Amino acid sequence: MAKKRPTEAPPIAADPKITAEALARAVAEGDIVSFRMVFAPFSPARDYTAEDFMAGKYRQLLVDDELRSAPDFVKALEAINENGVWEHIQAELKASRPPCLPSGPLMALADNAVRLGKYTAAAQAYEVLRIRERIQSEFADEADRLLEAGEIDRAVKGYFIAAGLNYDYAGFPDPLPLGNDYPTRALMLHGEYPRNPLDCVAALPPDRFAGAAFEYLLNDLDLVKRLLNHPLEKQLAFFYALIQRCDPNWDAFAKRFREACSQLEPFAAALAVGANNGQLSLRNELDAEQAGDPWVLPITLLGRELDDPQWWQYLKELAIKHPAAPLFVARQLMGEVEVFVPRLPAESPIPGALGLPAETSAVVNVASGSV
Amino acid sequence: MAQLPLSPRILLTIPTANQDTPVDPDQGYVNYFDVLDVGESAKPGEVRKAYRQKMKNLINDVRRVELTAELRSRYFLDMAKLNAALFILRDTSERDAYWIERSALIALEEQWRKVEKESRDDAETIAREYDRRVRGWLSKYLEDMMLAAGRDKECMEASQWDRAHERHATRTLREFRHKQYRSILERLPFVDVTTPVIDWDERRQTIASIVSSVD
Repeated sequence: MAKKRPTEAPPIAADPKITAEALARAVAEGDIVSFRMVFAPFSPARDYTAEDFMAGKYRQLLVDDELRSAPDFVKALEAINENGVWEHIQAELKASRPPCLPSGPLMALADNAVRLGKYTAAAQAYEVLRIRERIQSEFADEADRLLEAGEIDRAVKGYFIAAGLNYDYAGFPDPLPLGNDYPTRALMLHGEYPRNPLDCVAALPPDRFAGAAFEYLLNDLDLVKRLLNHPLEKQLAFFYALIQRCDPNWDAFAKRFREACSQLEPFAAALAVGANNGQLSLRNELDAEQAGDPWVLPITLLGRELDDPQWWQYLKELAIKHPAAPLFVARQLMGEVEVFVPRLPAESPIPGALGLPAETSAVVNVASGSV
Repeated sequence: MAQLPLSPRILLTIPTANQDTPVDPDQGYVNYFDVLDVGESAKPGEVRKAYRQKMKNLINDVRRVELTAELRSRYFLDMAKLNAALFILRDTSERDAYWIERSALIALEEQWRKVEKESRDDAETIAREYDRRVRGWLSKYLEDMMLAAGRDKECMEASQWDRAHERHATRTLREFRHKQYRSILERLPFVDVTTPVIDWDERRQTIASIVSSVD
């Protein structure tokens, strides 16, 4: 069969007004993908392409009447039409080479992206402007100042933004915004099976727990070091607010966690640690298997049953729904079944402040190692 | 091959994108002679001797400390640098090729700066050519050579480097390469974006208003 030859469509001249509006929309919405697309070689904004702004695939670049009157859009359009900027944009769209983006609108785009919570878009824009690390540190400085002043929620917001602007220089093939992959990080947190009930994050004393929790939730060692310079009391207040920010549905999880704690009671005697240097023995695990169906615990914690019953599948989904939840569970073998169980530190203010039960079988006694 | 000028190992005053501070022209272009602390005319025997001593010290350091993820990455990188230094410098033709390419790259950077300062039309062409070559050089000498050195018998024996190390180190090496590229880029004129005019007081006010705003 003869190969079908592509038909050559005649070039379509771009309307400068539509181009300016498309860029203004991208700036107002902190949308770096659309912003770059306007300058791409195949862009409908280029006179020599056959692409048309009116084609359905470019709908996200077009502006409707409602958006046209929005203050953010009006401000962005003014920035695009500014003397010098618009001339530069037109010259770049005429040139047949990789574009040189206008820095003013790009900076405005980055700021808007941060305001709208589009941190990966903001990180990319600041990275192009070569100020990402400095901006990140300025956000952390502001957050530190607010934390010292006792404005915990705002400090959390500052740190959250700073962490959101992180970049992964080991990204393949090129560096990328880091993001925070809680399911993967939750698996790393529970990568090693705890032979001793104390070998899990939940059992750490409050100061070390805070460090581990910040590292898991923010995924930035520099930010963690900054936070650990504050008094423990502030760190814990910050931690409670951070959990609420990461997970608006935390109260629903806390309720399910309390239910799971009561379901843990039948297993508690079997899992009690006595001799054996505080380590759980095979006997403990076999006894626990006889005490009931261990799967009720992860099912209750997650709030639904999965088709593929693996502890790590439950943990991954739990980390998506409630990012902080993996900090309060531990892996546990019961016979041939491995699940995760609720686990809390003894004599710690953390569970009470988060609506988790303080007196339960999930509490692990740091002093003796007994459950 | 034409002999290209060797890089001057002195501090030059190179205007950076944001400030006029002296920048070491070696910054970013890893100098394997410095990694082993040997002169540019060192014989293969001297290179090997320096390598073995440095590797021995490094392995002793690794054994002395409790490894964290951060420390492990640092040691992987140090070990990979030493291996690559031996791999490249013990072979005269490999060493010459490395040094000539490195010197040519530094010369091209200087040429670009000069052309950029004079606002000549070919500045952009040179900038793009420099970018292509610097990426290629970093990829070859900061990642590929390091991995190839890890498979070399002599390096494997001295460093106890194996395939498992390679799997773990791949990410660290890629991160190192991209960070070196970034550190070079930061002192160069802007190409992909117009030079931003940044008022840091205004930036701080913007940041404060964003953090204080209600979600």
